[in-house]
Amino acid sequence: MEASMTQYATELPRTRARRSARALTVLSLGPLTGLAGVVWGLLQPWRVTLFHPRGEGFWWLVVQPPLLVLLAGVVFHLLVARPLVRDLEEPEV
Amino acid sequence: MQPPAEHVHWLFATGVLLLGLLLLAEGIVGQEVWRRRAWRAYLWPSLLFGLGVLMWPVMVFYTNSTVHMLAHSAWAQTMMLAGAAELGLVRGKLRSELWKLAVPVSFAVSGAAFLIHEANPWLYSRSAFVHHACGWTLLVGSLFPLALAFKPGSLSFRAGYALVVVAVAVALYSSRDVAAIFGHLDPSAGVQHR
Repeated sequence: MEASMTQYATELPRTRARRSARALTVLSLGPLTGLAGVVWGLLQPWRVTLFHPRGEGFWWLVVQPPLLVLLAGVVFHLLVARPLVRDLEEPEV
Repeated sequence: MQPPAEHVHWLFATGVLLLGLLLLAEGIVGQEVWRRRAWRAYLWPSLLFGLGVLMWPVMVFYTNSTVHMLAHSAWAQTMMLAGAAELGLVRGKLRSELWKLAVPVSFAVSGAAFLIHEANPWLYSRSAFVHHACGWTLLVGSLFPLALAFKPGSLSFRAGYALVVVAVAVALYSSRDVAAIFGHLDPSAGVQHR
């Protein structure tokens, strides 16, 4: 009985730690993707034409890879990662 | 108002990147947690199916040769097939486990279409490089979803599958109209203008 209680007592924090590591990984995917977009924009600033428009049309102003990568990261984080982590950390009802 | 071909590649790259992120997240939390919300279970199969549907206008409006048209059509069909098969499996309408082979088959056919319709060598131009890179990534990468179909619980196969998709997104983002690759641009490819 005592041995089994000790086992439970040590397993519970381990499970929590594993879950929080998963949650942290999921929560980091969006920001890391967004960061990749920001770094790309800094390395190739001419791609972010919005900052220095010179008569470009809609596509050349708005649809640029660094902005799209940033957008993908933000959308994923807000719409998928956050609700997913809530589900991960809450017990199933 | 029609976007230039480069922008179409980048928009598709964004869809593919989101697909990769969804697959990664599913792999990390596991299918049980992922499917706790019904909308989430349908999310990436719907996105894959939608990308296939959107490939049809690309086939129609960006046709510069018959082989290009056939390649775009092959991508449209295989993405729709893989997305529909996964939707059917999630919904429970499809019961045979063999439907899980739709994704690896889709990867392999898409990869072959990339390689077959690119007539030039790797360093001919940026576009040629992207085609070869996407083709081989998908062809070799199809082994991950294939292995996953037989061993669904494997985290490494699931991660490999997701990372193959992310790698294709990165390759598509690097696509340019006429541009050099590692300093190489064959004169017959045209003049670099961006």
